[in-house]
Amino acid sequence: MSFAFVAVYNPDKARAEVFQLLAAPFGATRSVYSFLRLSNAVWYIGVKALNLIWSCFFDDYVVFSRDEHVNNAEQSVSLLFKLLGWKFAEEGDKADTFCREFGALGIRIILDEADKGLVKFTNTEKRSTELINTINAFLGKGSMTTLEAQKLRGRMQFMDGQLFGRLGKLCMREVTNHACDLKTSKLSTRTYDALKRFSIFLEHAEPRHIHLSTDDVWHIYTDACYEPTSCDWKCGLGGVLVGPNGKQAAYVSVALSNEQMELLGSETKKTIIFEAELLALVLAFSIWREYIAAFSLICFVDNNSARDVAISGNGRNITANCLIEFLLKLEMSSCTTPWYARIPTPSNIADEPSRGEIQRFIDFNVPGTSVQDGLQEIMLALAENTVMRGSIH
Amino acid sequence: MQYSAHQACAYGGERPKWTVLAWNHPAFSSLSLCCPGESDAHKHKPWGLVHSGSGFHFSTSEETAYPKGLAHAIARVFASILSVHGWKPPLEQMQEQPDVSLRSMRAIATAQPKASKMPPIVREHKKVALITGPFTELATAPVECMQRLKQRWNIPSSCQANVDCLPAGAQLLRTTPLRSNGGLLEAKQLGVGVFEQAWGIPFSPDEFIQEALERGHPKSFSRLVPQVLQTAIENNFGTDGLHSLPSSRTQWFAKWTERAKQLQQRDMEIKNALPDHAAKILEAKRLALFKEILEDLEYPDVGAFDELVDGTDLVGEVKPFGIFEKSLKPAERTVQQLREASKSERMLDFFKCSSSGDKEIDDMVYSKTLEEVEFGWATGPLQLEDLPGDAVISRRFGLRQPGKIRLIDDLSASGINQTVQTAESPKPHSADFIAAMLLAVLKVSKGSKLMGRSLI
Repeated sequence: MSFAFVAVYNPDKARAEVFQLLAAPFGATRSVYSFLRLSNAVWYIGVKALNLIWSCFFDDYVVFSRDEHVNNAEQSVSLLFKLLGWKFAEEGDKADTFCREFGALGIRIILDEADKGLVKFTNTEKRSTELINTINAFLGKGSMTTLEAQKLRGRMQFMDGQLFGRLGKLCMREVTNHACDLKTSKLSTRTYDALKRFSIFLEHAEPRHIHLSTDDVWHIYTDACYEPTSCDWKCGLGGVLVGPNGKQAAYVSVALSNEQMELLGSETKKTIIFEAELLALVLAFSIWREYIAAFSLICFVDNNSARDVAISGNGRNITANCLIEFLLKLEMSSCTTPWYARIPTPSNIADEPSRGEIQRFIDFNVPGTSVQDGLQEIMLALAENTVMRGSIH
Repeated sequence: MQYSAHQACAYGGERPKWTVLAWNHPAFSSLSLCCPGESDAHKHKPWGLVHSGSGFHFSTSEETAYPKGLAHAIARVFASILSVHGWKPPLEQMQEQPDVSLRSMRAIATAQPKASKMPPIVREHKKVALITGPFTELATAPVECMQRLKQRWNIPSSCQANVDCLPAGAQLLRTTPLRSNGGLLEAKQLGVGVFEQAWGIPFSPDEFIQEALERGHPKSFSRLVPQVLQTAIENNFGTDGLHSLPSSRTQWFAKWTERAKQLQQRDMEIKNALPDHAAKILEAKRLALFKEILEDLEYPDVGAFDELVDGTDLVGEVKPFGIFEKSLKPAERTVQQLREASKSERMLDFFKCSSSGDKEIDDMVYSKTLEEVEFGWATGPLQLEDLPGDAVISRRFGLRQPGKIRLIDDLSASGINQTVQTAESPKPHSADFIAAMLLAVLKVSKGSKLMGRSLI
């Protein structure tokens, strides 16, 4: 018991006093384990012995029931805790009753269309607006002290626990780095970008829908080619959309104009294949977002660098960062959780269309998707980005 | 230490330079190839001064780096030693079985991990073709190691393989010597060393799509729902569930309420054997019943009961429970080191403990601590001189959270948490888990209406 002593400040005597703890302290790594161990055991009993449909997040249990069993489920949970001698909030603020719509872990779960196969998850709006305002204030000021960064990180973490998707975690990593940097409170470009993304993330986060087809998997295959010495097809992009049944639903095949290649950096770089591969991915996601919204998506890319920046959410250069930002917004607004995977070139069905070869799609009646509007939208974002950067430096 | 010598040209170097390696594992003795002898397929660059655009240099300076073939050979030896000790090479592709490793749980619930941390969805090669034959023949392959064939290549007739030719896109993975017990395996008639070449044969685009469809999505929600919960969900909506479920619950409660009465005596005995404070904390809990239910349900971690009764060690190793994902997090310091730290270090947090600057927090932290004393969860205040000689003090502070002030005992600053070594990482059920659970419900609920609630 030599390790269970705590110093507590006694405000009356204005000095610290020592107490010995006899119950597991809040803040011990070991306590977390024993706590979760017990709550998991109780959760298991409920599932296996009583067929309860419930989850357990520390001491926060969320229970579901079909209408016919609501009273029975209610009694069963309460009886289970009583039987084991566990404490359980039966009255007061925390005691709730079964509803069609309720809050848990900081999100709202809406069940009124569950009989039609649809469940909705939303965030509490007030809290996200507050956080957006705070972040925008830091962005305006251009700086953030270590203490401010730590506080902000806490709030972001709390919010992120309730949001789906990955953007929040990527942004928090940057805020942590900023908090650890004791040399300056000025926001670096990376931290600035990350904060901006988090606020976009909060704004764009749509209510998440869980429906029967949520688990249906769509594939996007993309590829790019770059042959600066070729005369008419210098930089080509190709993509193929494959539906859950394995059927090829659409393809794209497009060659970039010289102006578009310049926006990717063809004037200053020896090769723009990485940027082109990333652009192919973003373009395909963008033009097919209607098809894939709220489904599971896998994007197959045969350029490892493009895959890696799509996963990390960090573009490595200005052009790529702008494309990644576009991609992350697409992820959020389409409620799609993509997985970025590698495909070897000889296996990639998008290889041919990236070089302008589309005969096989014509033979099999696969429709070509028009890309000019979608490409224009991304190119505009790239151009704006270039202009903005130019005015900063 | 033992030593073995080899020549660089036997591993793809350009000159027959000798190198001696020192090693302490016999597997490295295989790194001892000598020059196969000069021939059309094996030529040496001359020694001496080398003329280059920028002047002269000695040829030996070109031989300082290990040839790639040697680096590969060394890596293979390490891999063979490690695999004997239980190391498994990374998976070639995602597993078809639901994978419940922590990494894949994280992948589902949060962000996709780095590509190097997860196996690819579809493996790189449909299959690997092996060709064996004399080095001179294999060396006629039209590509370097790791490159792909631009067009199909007919395998030389003197070589053995399970295919006749290699298609365009096939990738040369390695060329390695085959060995028998005494040394290099020799082709009988030719008297030259036999080598093996490995080629990766790619999936065709259509095969790849088919393969990827069969693999599914790594973030597939269904992977998040444990089997025991899936069964419970199905029982709720099965043909019979509507009527049988409530009555089976009633039966279960009847059985265990009865058992609880029988176990009352046993509970008294357990609690009587405990120190007063522990008995007080556990007063209301039906300990013996808890244990029997867990055993009855074949719960893998009945030890949860023992920890509840015996209390929690704040330091040292946490043995695996068998319910969470394996993930070793080693201790940063030993318990011994913590005990032997200087007294000033162990007491540091006592002297650092001062007002938070917020009167409300100070008052709340102190009064809540006194409340804990009243409940029997703590004792004090104590005199410093009454503490054991190796006592470590942690600082308690208050953290303002929405609607309340939470007490935190900072066992990290005092070094106690750093002695904890864990073998498993628990994963409490997040919002994604709830989403996955609801999806599983929707799949079997067939138009039933649902309600839910949260209880804390």
